[in-house]
Amino acid sequence: MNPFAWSGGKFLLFYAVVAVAVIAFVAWRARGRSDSRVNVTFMTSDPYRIAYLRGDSAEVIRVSVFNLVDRGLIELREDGLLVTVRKDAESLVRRAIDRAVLAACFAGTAPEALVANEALLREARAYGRDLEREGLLPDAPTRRSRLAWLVGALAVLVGVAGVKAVVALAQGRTNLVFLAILTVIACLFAARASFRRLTATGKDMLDDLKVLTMRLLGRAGTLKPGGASNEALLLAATYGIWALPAGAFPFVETLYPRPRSDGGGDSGSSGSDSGDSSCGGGGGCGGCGSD
Amino acid sequence: MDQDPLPPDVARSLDLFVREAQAALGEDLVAAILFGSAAEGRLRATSDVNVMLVLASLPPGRLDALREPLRLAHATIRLEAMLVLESELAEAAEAFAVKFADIAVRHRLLAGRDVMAALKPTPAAMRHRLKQILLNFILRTRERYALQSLREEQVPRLLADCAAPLRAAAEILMQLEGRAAASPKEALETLARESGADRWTQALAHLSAARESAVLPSGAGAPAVLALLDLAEALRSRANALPERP
Repeated sequence: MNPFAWSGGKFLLFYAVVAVAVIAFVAWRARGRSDSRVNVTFMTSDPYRIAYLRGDSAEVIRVSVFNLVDRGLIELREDGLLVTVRKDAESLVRRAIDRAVLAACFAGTAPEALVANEALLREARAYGRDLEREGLLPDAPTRRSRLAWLVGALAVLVGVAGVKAVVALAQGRTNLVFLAILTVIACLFAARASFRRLTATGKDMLDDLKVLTMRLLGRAGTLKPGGASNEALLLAATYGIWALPAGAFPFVETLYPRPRSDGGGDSGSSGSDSGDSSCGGGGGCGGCGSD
Repeated sequence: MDQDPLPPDVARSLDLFVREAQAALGEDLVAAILFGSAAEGRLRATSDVNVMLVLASLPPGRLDALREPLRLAHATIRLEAMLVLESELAEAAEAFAVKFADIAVRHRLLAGRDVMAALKPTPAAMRHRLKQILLNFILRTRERYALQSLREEQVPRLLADCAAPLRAAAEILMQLEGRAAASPKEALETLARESGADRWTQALAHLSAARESAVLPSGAGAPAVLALLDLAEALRSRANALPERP
């Protein structure tokens, strides 16, 4: 019953089972437990929090720009620049990110430049910190804990494969390619499972918000521009600006053309600012939109 | 009254709204009452959700605290809120007698005490308001028919909009005649049958279809609107014939 003495195919099957168990364990640890104490009104009272939870800092800026254009506080000129239309515009908005966007547009700015504007990104990242405080995104200790569990998982995955490699080599067998490939794949999956962008609370919150706005999404085609209600903002924050009907909000496509790969609902969740909520152990971990 | 469960998103939004209203208004919130089609369990995808908040008082600032929850509920489930002081209730019930008579029959208490139980508009006010609603319906529908019926695809919406006032009027008319109907829809069907045998059967079927699917067979919508105008005239004659009791 010593698995390390098993032949190639049988051991690979054994290794695959071990890998699945390790990855499942890491994913379970990374998800954590959902905390139902976080009130949904914490999110709905500032829809930019929803935009950040679903996307990233750049998405918060996109939603803010959309909101301000819709309210008529920013205008998209024919030369393609966004310009703040009123000198007192900053006094008409309540949120810091809106004020920052208005300030950035006084001299005229291209929409794409806004989502790369460091001052705006800094303002938007404050939402990330809010969400971390509420346990909706992993905070530093959580990320460290995830990293520790990942290191353990990698040690198991690489260790088991290494022992088998040593045993095989001692028996004069050198065909270890499949085992090496399987080990690399298992390690990549373990890393991906470790660095989920959202916590369990965050994922449940996003699901709850989608239930809450189901009807709003269903009647998106009837929304009217002008910012008289918060319907368009809530929809844009929850599902992305491209969920808005192009007929009523034609400027959305001009501001930020829909990426070709974007099939529908959610927008801009591909993590353009890696400094926000990455895995603590460096880049390249976990797709932002994968939760 | 029917207590069919609400769709989960509506139930969630309503629950959230009521909790936020309680937090914002505190002891001043006497009652939160759901009325209209949601209270009846017949909510459609396009329906508004009607809620009445009865308040003991509304000190300055309290309304501000209600802004965020109300805007959210309006955005998510099209919640329309009637904010009425308890001291205004009796007067409001007389002024909007048909609406309040309907609420008295079809409502769900979401929080607080059921102030509707003791509230009943006088028959005179109901009669007066009933006539007003029917005449208003007739005048508005004539104009909308003239404006919209040349565009066939617009007619189902026009027809669907006929349902609420006609059904509410029929239910109140039956009440004033000392009878009860299971629902406003049934009241309208009963009165249509009594007043004209099968004369309005098809129009009422098209009315239901327009509300269900917003699609009607080609050429069916405009005659149905005219038939409903005819039915409204018949109801108005019947309302005019009601004995003038206080």
